[in-house]
Amino acid sequence: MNRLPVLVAALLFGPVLSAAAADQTQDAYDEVGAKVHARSGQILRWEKDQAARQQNLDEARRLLRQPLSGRAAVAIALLNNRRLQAALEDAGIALAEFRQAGYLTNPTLSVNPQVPDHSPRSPEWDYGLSTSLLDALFLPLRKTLAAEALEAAKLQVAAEALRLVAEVKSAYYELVAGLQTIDRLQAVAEVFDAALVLAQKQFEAGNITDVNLGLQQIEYSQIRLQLAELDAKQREDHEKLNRLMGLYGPDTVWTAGRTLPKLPDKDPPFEGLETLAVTQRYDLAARRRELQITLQRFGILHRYRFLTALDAGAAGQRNRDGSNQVGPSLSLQLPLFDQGQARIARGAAQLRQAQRNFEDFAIEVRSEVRELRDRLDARRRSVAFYESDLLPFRRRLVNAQLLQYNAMVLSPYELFRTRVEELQAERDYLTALKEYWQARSELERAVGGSFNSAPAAPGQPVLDRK
Amino acid sequence: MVSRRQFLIKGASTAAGLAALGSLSRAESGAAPASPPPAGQDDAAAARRRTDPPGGPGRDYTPVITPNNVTLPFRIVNGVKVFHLTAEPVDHEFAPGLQVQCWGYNGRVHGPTIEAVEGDHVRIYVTNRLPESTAIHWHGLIVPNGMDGVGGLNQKPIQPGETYRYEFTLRQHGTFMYHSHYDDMTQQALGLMGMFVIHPRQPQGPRPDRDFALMLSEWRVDVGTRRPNPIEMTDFNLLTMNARVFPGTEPLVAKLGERVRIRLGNLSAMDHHPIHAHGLAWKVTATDGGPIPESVQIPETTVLVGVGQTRTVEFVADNPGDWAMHCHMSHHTMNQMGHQIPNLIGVNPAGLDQRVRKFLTGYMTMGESGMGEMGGMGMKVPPNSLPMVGAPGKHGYIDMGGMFTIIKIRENLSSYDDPGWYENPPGTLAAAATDDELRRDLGFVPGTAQGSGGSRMQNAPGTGGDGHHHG
Repeated sequence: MNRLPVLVAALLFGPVLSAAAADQTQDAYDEVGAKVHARSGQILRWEKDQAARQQNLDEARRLLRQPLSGRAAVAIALLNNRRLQAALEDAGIALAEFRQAGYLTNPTLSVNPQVPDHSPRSPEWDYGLSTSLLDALFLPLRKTLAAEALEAAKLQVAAEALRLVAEVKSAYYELVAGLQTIDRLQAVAEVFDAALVLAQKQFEAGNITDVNLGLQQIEYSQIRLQLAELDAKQREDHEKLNRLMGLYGPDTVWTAGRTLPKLPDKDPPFEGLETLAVTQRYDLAARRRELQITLQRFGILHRYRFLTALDAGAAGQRNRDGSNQVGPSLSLQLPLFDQGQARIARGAAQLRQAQRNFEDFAIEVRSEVRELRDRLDARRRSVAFYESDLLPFRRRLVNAQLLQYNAMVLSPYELFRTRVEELQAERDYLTALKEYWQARSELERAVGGSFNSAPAAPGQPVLDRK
Repeated sequence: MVSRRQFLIKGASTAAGLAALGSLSRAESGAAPASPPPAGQDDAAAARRRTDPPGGPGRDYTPVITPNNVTLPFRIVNGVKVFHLTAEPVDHEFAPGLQVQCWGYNGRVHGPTIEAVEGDHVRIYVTNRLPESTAIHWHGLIVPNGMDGVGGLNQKPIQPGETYRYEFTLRQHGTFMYHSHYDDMTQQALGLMGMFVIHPRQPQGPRPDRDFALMLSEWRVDVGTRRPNPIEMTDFNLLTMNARVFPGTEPLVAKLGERVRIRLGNLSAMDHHPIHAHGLAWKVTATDGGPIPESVQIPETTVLVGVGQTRTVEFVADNPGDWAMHCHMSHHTMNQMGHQIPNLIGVNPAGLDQRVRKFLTGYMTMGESGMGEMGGMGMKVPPNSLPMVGAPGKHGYIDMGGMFTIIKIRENLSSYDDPGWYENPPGTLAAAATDDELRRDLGFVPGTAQGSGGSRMQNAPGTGGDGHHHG
């Protein structure tokens, strides 16, 4: 039998192979990390043991000592998010499957002593050794498919990581915008506080009724209530980021940087974005490979439809008198009733299904890119309009009102109200700016994690463009 | 030898000539030359009219002075006093710092004063350069119905670009007015009005040395704008004398001992004005209906001039000084005051200003101790406005505005130009009392404004102030 030397070799070189296998494992995880780094410029490190875990945690804690920036939040999430690490193990699993695909099925040894029920009770021995020839035949094909599957798995995990990156950025912008909004609302509270002080002074001097004073108190209280609500939301946003960054215990106490980045000079151009997405999106590439697997599987199914089982080996008998008879064995499943027509039809349908699903996904990818690019454009125009028109106009209005107040034709309460309206406009501007950045990070994810078609050099930030 | 033709054309200067023409129906104190009837009129109409030779300033009357304005010039054409009024948009200054786009006559707001003599035959051409039709009503004058000037009722309105002719004989004397009577609300609110003074042909009573005409009116010009709002019905913020507000009002100057006449006309949209003068009491000598007989001339220091009325007052300037003359409605002597501001009197602003300046730089609480000196504070206000503005005077800031002017009476005057501020003779100026004076007269020196003890004079025995009963 030709496979025997192979089996012996496997036994002899097992330890060598397992060492090589260990390197291969690290490589698989590292490749995922490299893919993520190529788009995000950030590190994803596999926590294969406690030492690695500690390394990640130490790095995260080092970043947490500074006021949290968007880049730091993403870095910490990539290092620390448990679910991502769980997803990362899909690469390990797929790798194991790949290795499995490279093993020949173990041969089966059967030994069967048979003792007669009468004397002399010396047993007869039946023995045999068999292995699946089909298995050996299909091994290269199996390995090829498993290799594809491994690639697909790595790509999917990388895509998952980039989705997390986008989610973290979005949550970060939400948090920072919330902090700035609280800031503006506190400024509003200051104005209403001053108005209340004035009303109180008027009331003490006997110039207004308690009803008028009450109205001012209500206005002030309502602002205080809004502030409390914003505070609560801000704590929720903080917690959301904690979850995304996988933090717990004392690590959950950190401060965020307090300003949203300014509008960048320009957005990525519309042309080429769709192409960028279809060429560089990892999840699309994974799906492509999965479709390839399905296609190849169908090919194999079609070619070997008649061959469903083929075993070969040797069998022998040791007689009671000590003599042996040994000879080769072969078993073959005959394609009499089932020639694989149904299997082929099913396979064909599944292949077509996989193709349609892939096309659907590709369409969605393209559409998502267009939709998000449009949204980005609209959000930019909104923000720019606030900066160029609305906010300057409100500022001028406050100044003009101040002159009218100086001329004693305007009440100080009206003047205060105009300032409050200016602050409200600033709040609306912050919302628009946050939505711009969120749209931008979504678009970045939708084109595959980076607007640059060339992968970023290690360490070069790809995220914040100021 | 004068030919009959020459006689008829040139007229005669003798009684015989007068009789021949048969044009006069009343006796005259002096021989006045008759003038021929205007061309185109028939003899019956001529007989109805009393055509007198046109009166001349100085000779027949003391010319009226319209502070901040002028008298409408005229020419005599065939014995007729011819005037020309052009109604047009005018860029007008209420006082330095406030320029407003109004509607006026002959480039002025209000229109120039028309001055004539009873018996004059006047012909007034009115050219319309406004963006809408107009007409002129001669307020108080008895004229032929078709000359009365109510658009639609008495005449077709004068379209933009047209020139109409008004012509009538003046049969009264006194203080009258003229104003638009088409779309009155808008056109009067924008300034289309003026004084119409008719001197008597036969003056009665003492001749005034100084004769002034003041047209009272009210406007709404929002701070920072430059056009009056004719829709305003109740909340006017600029009250004017001859379309000017103090400190833009020219003073009325007279020499000590002179007889002064002031003609007041009121064409405000909605408000009467009690015009009060300091340092004198005048007699109301005429209304818009005619002269008041001397025996019933009412003495006043405050004459109420209702909307549509004229009141003529006269007095002898026997009290030297700078005397305020103003509408006594206190809101009518403030410039562009807003009425929507909160009451801050008595409010202690401590701590508030710093709080507010955190979000409004340059803010300052105002009005907590009144509104005096607001104008002098130099706060930045909208351009082209005069909110709360007054003027510096001899003794400090005069925080008056609006319908306020000054009668300046001086013993020695070389001219009637503004003589500056009055020099107070010693002992006649209110000033801070010295401590010696206070101790001598009151028995103690009163404390600061917040008061530490009142004067014992306030609760002297016998006045019942401290609860004592007597008698």
